[in-house]
This record gives sequence, structure tokens and C-alpha cells, in this order.
Amino acid sequence: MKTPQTPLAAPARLSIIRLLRLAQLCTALGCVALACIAQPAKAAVTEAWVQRYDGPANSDDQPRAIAVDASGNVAVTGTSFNGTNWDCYTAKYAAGNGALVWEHRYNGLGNGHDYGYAVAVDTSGNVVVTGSSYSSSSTVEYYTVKYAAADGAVLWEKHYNTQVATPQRSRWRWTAAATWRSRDLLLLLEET
Amino acid sequence: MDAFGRVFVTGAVGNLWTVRGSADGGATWTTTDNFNLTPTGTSTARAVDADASGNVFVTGYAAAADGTSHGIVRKLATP
Repeated sequence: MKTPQTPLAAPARLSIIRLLRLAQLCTALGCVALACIAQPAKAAVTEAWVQRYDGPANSDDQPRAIAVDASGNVAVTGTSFNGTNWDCYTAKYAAGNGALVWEHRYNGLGNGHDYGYAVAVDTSGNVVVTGSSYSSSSTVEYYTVKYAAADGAVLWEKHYNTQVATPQRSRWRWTAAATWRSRDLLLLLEET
Repeated sequence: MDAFGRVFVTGAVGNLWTVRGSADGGATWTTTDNFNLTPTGTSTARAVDADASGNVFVTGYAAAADGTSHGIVRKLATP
């Protein structure tokens, strides 16, 4: 006697496929579980806040350096195009919510280009910025300024005029500023 | 280097601003931050610093929708 097989054949194939799929699912879940166990400390980095700066001329703005003070407030310096030339732009943001505490635009002597290259904070939260200020087409000054922690008032500023001829002036630039023992300032130059 | 001995480097990979960090003196690196202001514009991270609690602060610039670059500052809480 022949047993009719057609009614059974299709369900049998489906069962095998289902079994395979179940096995795949279990394997996948197992891998995920293993991955979770193997890397328990790899939690994601989360954004606490973000701030954007678009200068008055609605042109290019390029931060260059950042420094965090003892309270977690942050100072940023860089350069911002004013429509005619670049200004040195420095801003301080609050630790908790990133609110703008104060900001400074510096358009130096001779209305030339001004670049903030480095920033440092002292133990009181005052901010020191150094960079280059082109006082004319042929000379560049090293410009350094100290801003008060609370309101950004200019505590002092120094112009160091190198009187370097144009072809040579771009060979040097400030790359770092660091406060040392809370009062002294260390400036580093880099040959480019 | 921050208070936990981590070292960070900044730059751009593709059109994303990228911060990579190493907690073992540079032997192994992981990506700490990728960021972009618009999907197609280029963003570049320029500098990084950290506070005593291990929060990481990154600054750089990013192309806005009008094509000009805007200054960006990001505070990142790291586990």
C-alpha cells in the first residue's frame, strides 16, 4: 500500500525552515548577550550641550584652541571673519549648560587679520589668549591678552612687534599657552 | 592628557569631525566623538580638553547650510 505523501511534504519542509530560523535567532541573541557581557563598560558618550557661533558678518568662524578651568567652564579662541578681515574671537561658556558667559572680538591695530592660536586658564579662571595680529601688510605682532574670569574684562594686553618681513613672518606662530603656578605664563612657538 | 590618563586627538574623517581617545598611552584607540552639523557639509575638530570629572570638551568648525563655517563647542559626558 502506498501512503499518500503530498499532504505531509509541505508542512515538513516548513518545520525544517522554522527550526533553522529559530536556531539562527538563538545564535544571534546569544551573540548579542555575549557582546553585552564582554563589554559592560562601553557605554555611549553623550552630548551634554553644544554651542554654535556664527559671527556678525555671517561668514567663516574657526575655533582653534580650548581650555577648561577648575570649575568646568570652557574658554575657546580662534578666528572669525568680519566681512573684510579676520578677528580674534574668544568666548567663555558655563560648565553646566554651556551658556555664553562673555565673548570678545579683537580687531587689532591696522585693521588687519587677527588670529587666536592658543588659550589657557589660571587657577582663578582668568583666561589668557595668544595669537597673531597683522598690524600692516608687512608686519605681524604677537598679541597676548588676559581676560577676567567673571566678566571677560581685559586685565592686560601685550603687543610684541617682531617687525619680521613678510616672507618670514608666517614661519612662526604661537601653538600653546599654559599658566604655571597660577601666575606665570608660558608661551610656546612653533616653526611652521 | 586628562585626569584619567586619557589622550585625545582631533581631526576629520570623511566629512565628520572626529575625536579619538586612548586610555592606555596610545596602544589602542577608540572613537570618542563623531559630529556633523549638516549631512553633507564638512566638520573638523580642532582642539580638545577635559575637566577633573572626565567630561570632554571639543571645539572645531562645521559647514552650515549656507556653506560658511560656524564655530562649534561640544561638552561630552563620558562614562
